[in-house]
Amino acid sequence: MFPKTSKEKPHGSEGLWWATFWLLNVGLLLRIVSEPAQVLGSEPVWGWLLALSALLQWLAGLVFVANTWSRVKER
Amino acid sequence: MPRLSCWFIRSALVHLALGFTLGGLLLVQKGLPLHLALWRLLPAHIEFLLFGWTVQLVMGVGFWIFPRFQRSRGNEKPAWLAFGLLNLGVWLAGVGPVVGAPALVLFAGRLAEVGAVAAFALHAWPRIKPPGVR
Repeated sequence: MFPKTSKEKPHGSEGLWWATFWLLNVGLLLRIVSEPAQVLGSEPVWGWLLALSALLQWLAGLVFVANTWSRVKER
Repeated sequence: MPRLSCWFIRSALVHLALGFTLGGLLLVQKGLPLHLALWRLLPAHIEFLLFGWTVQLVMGVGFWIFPRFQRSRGNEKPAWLAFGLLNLGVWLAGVGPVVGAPALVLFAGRLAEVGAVAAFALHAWPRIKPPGVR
């Protein structure tokens, strides 16, 4: 429902939308696995995977903001 | 999109980016403990995402799409006041505890947020109407 970025690219960069989708979902899945595993186990790999999930979700947020920003405009 | 909605939504996006950044840091802290002091960012993370992003996006979109009176959106002043109060409140209530501000700052922030909700309701109330009703 937001205004179109342009006639050629009404939704902004489709690639960035896909990037947002994959970054967020892979990040969330990684978190679902690594957060409880880190609490239950002692292997450092789970901590690193949790940090990786944080990075992926953070990037998803930033890419979403960057791609939406140009669509927030007056008529 | 009206000008005020642009302000609301852009501010919401800024808070989303800030909230995600703080949340990312906190999640890294969970996995790879960097510094315990990072947990002090938690109130700001919650405040930025709950009020700065979610509530602000709702207000911005609501101001934009609620039914209008012919072409007018009615009295816009309370909605502008809501924008100012909400952002003031988010920063007072979110950043205040992080920097160790007195409890009065947190209270002032919450008061500003309540004021923002009241001001927005004052603006939006007459616009909640069936189509055709003036």
